[in-house]
Amino acid sequence: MIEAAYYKPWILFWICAVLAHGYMDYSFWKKWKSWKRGVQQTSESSWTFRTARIWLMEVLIQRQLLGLSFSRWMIHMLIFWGFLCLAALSMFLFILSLAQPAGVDAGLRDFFLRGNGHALVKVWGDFFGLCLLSGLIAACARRFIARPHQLLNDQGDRALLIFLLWLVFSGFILEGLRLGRAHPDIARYSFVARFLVPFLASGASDAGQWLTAAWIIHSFSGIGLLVYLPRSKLMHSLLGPVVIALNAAEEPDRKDIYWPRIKYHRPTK
Amino acid sequence: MAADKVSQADKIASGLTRRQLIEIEACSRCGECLAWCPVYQHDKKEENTARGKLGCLRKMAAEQPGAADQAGLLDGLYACSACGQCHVVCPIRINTPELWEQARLALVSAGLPQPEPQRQQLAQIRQYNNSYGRRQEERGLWAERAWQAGFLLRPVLTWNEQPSEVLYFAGCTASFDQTMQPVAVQSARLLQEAGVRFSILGADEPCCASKLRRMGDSAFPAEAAMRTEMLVRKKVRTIVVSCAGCFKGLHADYRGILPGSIEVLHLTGFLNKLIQEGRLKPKHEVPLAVTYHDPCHLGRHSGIYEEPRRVLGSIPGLRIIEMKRSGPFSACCGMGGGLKLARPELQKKMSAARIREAEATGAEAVVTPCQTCLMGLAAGAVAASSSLPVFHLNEMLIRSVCPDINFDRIAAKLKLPDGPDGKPAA
Repeated sequence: MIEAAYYKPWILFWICAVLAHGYMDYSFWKKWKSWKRGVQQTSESSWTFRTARIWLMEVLIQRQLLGLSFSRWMIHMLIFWGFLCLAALSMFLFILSLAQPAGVDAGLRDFFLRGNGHALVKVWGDFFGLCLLSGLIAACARRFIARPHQLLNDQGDRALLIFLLWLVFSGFILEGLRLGRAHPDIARYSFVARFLVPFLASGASDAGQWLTAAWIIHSFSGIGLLVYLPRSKLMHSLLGPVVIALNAAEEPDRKDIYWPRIKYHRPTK
Repeated sequence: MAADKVSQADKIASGLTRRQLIEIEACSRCGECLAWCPVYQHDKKEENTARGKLGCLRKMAAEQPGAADQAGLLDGLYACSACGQCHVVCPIRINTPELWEQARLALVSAGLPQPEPQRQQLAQIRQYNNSYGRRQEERGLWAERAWQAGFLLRPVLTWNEQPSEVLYFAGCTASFDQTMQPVAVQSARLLQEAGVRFSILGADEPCCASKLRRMGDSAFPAEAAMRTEMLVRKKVRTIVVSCAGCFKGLHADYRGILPGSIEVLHLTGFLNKLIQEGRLKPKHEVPLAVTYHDPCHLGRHSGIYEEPRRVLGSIPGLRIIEMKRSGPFSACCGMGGGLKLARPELQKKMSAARIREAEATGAEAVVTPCQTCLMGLAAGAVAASSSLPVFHLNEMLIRSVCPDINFDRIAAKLKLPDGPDGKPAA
């Protein structure tokens, strides 16, 4: 079930990835230093089952958003879970790629990239890619068409949305091009990207170049995300769960905060 | 010299906690706070919202502020009643009321200006130990005069005369503001009706100093420690507070200062307990449909929503109609957080809006257990040209327990003629 090989500029990729990661780490370190200027406060926190339950409900299920508006919750869930699961897939495959040369991958890399597990990788990638794409398109519609009055629409917001859309589109295009050169057995599991194949079909002679170009665009955009992350409002995806945990540990019994009938008082778009 | 080298951003950041510095970067800018903010409803500036303030604060603490950020933050921070609505609706749960109070302190410590009326009030509290600029000797006079006027069953003794199981803490407003003294008198009478043995501190009762915390005065921890020491020295075990602001102060702001052996209760919770135990019996019918206004300091800040409603529910004939925004979503009347001092016109609009919301329920009166909200809403009713009466919760209970000592009668009887300084003669 192996896909056709094409050229990938791995050396350039690794140089850029290391530099981008270094920059991201440096940015986080600077932020950490900046936070350390603050007073270290001792508070009455209780890390209990209830705290964990609140955290799970607020972060993984995003109950507050669900309480406010189903459509808003759905958009955020699609983006959140889509992004998270695609990132997890990339991380998983990356770890396997490091584990195999060291001989500690227990044959998993072959199973997922060449064996029966490949179907799961394809379905997973396309399903969560589709989730992310639908969430982003719906977020664009909410932001630019049915914009609720509380939404800011500044450069940073627009840039992030466009950047994420770019990342997902480039991923699907890369996958469509890959499928054009893959065995039909593989193509059927990529249930979204396979519809792009007819549009992306090109002459056999330059298909490899297109694939390389698409791979460069997608993977280097992914590297760009590392650079952009500390400066973007995506920081909330890292810090939000931290703040929710801190608050849940301090106010676990506040039913008025954690289980309010918010929609009863103000249903929002 | 070394202090001069510290940048303004560092001064601000070092005035906040680490958690708060993380919180100001965690904001997802979703704008939910804007949709609920009672201040923004009347002054539609982005910096009035939590999102706007967090944005300015983020830049101020990160050394990238523009002139507009500083002006915006100062504007927004002082045009805020710290009602805590943004904390409740924030999907990330940023603890905004704590943050605003701490930010005020950090900004003042960094040498940034504070509205003059707030500065004056803080100086007054530090100088006179009350927010009215009155002599401490006058503080407990309401009890003496109420006894003489026949409003009490027995004289209320001071702690020095007779320590009791309960200390009733009336607070500055009910002690000094003549229009609000009936709150203290009715509280005392209700406690007496229930057979509670209590004392007051009289001239020794200090200002709870929570306003220092609300408006960012660095003297708060020391002042709170001093008051705690006095309470410990007097061997106080249970404090019953009728003022929502004092309750939030003693209950929450003194956390870590006040020993755990001292229990702080709000009057409504205590009255509810007395009613449940059958010690206080609302017996006379009060045929009134009322709507209940949750004070921010009692509700969102302290999580007390049910007890006052239970007290009202125990009164025969009285019916509660909830406003569109109630409980954790109750709209602020604007009296807290120093907003009334910094932006009185805004506060009036907020109170008037709340009155209109109350009117929309079809209720015959608004009831609140906070004398500060009572004053704000009463002024709001005037601003809204509304005839809707505003009552303290005590008044409803008094009408059912001992109707002879209603609020207006006490106010009329205790009123003193004005002295030469324009203040009531003691």
